[in-house]
Amino acid sequence: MAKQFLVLLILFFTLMSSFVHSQTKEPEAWKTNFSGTAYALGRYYYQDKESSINPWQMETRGMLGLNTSYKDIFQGNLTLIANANATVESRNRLWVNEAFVSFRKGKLFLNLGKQTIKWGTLTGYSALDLVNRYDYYDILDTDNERLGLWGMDARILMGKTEIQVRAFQPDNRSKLHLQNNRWIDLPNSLPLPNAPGGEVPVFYKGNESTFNTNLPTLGMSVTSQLGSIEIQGKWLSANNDIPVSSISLLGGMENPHDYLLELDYRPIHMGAINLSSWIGSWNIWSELAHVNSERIDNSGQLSADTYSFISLGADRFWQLDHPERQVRLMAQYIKVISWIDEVYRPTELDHIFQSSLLLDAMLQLTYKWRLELRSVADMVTKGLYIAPNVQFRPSDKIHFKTGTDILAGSSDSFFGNFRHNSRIHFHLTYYPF
Amino acid sequence: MNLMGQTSPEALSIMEKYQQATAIENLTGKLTYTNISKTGRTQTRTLQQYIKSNDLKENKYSLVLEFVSPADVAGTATLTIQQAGKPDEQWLYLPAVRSSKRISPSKKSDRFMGTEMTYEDLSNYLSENIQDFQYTFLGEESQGNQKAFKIEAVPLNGTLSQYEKRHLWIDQKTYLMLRTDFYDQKGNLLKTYFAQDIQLVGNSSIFRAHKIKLENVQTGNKTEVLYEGFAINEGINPSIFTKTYLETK
Repeated sequence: MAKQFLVLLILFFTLMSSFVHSQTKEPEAWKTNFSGTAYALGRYYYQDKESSINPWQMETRGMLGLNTSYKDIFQGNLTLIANANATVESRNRLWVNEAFVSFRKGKLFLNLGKQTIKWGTLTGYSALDLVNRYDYYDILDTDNERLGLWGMDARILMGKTEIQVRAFQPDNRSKLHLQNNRWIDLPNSLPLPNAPGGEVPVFYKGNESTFNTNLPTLGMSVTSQLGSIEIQGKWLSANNDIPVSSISLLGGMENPHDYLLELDYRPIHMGAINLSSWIGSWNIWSELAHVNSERIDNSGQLSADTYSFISLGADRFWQLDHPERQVRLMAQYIKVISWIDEVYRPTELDHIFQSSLLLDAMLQLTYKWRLELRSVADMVTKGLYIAPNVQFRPSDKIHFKTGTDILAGSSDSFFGNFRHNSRIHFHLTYYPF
Repeated sequence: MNLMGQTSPEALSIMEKYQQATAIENLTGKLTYTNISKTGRTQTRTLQQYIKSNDLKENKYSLVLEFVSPADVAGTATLTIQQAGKPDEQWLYLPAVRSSKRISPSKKSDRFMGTEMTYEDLSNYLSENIQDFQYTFLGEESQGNQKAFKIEAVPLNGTLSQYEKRHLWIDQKTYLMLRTDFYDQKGNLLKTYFAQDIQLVGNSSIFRAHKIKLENVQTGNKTEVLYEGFAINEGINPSIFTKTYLETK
């Protein structure tokens, strides 16, 4: 109820600001801008022959943004999203994903309200991105799926040093679509020694989730420069956005037919140091992070999960002699050092990368056509992901993209485990404003 | 490259007046550029620009360039801080992640945002370092209806330039550049710059070209730039030129 009231308050504040625009003595100091995107998405899972889940995913989305500002001092921002999905009912919804106001005074800056947050600032993948809150309708394509958090983001600039403090709601749960989901296998049987065949069928009846309501999502960073090197120290403490799960049988072991999935969003704490600079025309960046969290171990018990994250990456942009032709390349190596004596399961989302090489490349052939390639190879789990796609932009307002996501490798890897989720996809995006 | 040359007093006087006419302490305004490839394909982008002088004597500036349209790139911005005797500091802000990254400084010969203008050209148009070139007065030559001084600029020893020489046509009335011919290191004509629609800026006494064209005669590609909403030397918030501002604008 309090959240709805805040949304209405910010909406009222923003619309009033727009109205005041026409009444003020300084009309040029007020600005109001609308932004919008409409897109249609289709995916076809060509390798999934045995699943009962529809091999097609079809979805449309409309996004409307409103920004009103007064000079450099104040801004009000609202983002409204409407989603319609052909097969997944939980994706049919209309919601305010962002509603926040911003204030600036000198070198102080404050954002208050509901905001989407990307915790990592590395050009590639950062350990801090483990805590980003998403709608996990799809695991691979989360670019437009960041969910807002209520709270504040404050910054102060002192010379070349910036201190940033962020405090958000304790509820950092990502949205999971547990049923009819290609990335989540809900059990439909459980082992029972006395039962015929050694197992009994079970039925999912719902889920219950818990998280520490006294643990806000807190982050702090200090960024400074030492010559040509930018140094960033970060600390983050939150409830994990991904839960550990357990099964709670509703009828006891005598009649184990129905069960509840207990989702427990355990605390996660991390510290990181990022360094970035350049060599020639290459941007070079690195991260050293340490993570303390919890997981379900191989004996089924909740236990500590402690690991370090070492990452080194480089990226570069080329403007070729042909005026339309551009190339962008990004390469990143990630090494995770686990301080527990266990092998991670391929379904543990926080452990997709163990010793991984990530590549991201783009070739713009003309103003209308571009080719992109994203790939991940994990040397420890022997998993492979390759995603080539082609983009066609007939105008600035319409973009079309199609491509494939190929998952392959050992079943011990995330990508190999989900190899039946290889697919082709189509995106049509329209920018009305 | 000229090892021994000396600028004639007449050419120096014209170049000093040109430098005075173009020198700015700060500037804001919108620019729309269109790249036109040899085959006729076009790409149009609109940017809001903020420019502040860091050091007029050293000809160093801070620049924020923010894409306004089209929608898919709107909000993307770059911050460049030029410093005497050091590489530029440069950041790229990506609105999708509300974060900026420090990037390698652009080379002088890099093309600016895919246009036919290089970072060296951009730097020269903000303010020409007249101590770095030898200028020779070649005479008077009209460009359209405007009378102009024609001057040859050759980089002095130690001045890094992608050009062997430039021919400059400077307006006798406003002392603004009307045309520049750029010659590559082999001495061949590479591209030509034309300034058009020279008008007073707002209510000030400062003239500026409101339209420019760059034609690469070797590749056949062109860039056209339209300027609007100029405000020159009217003051600017210095905190605009920080990474924090870029991420919170």
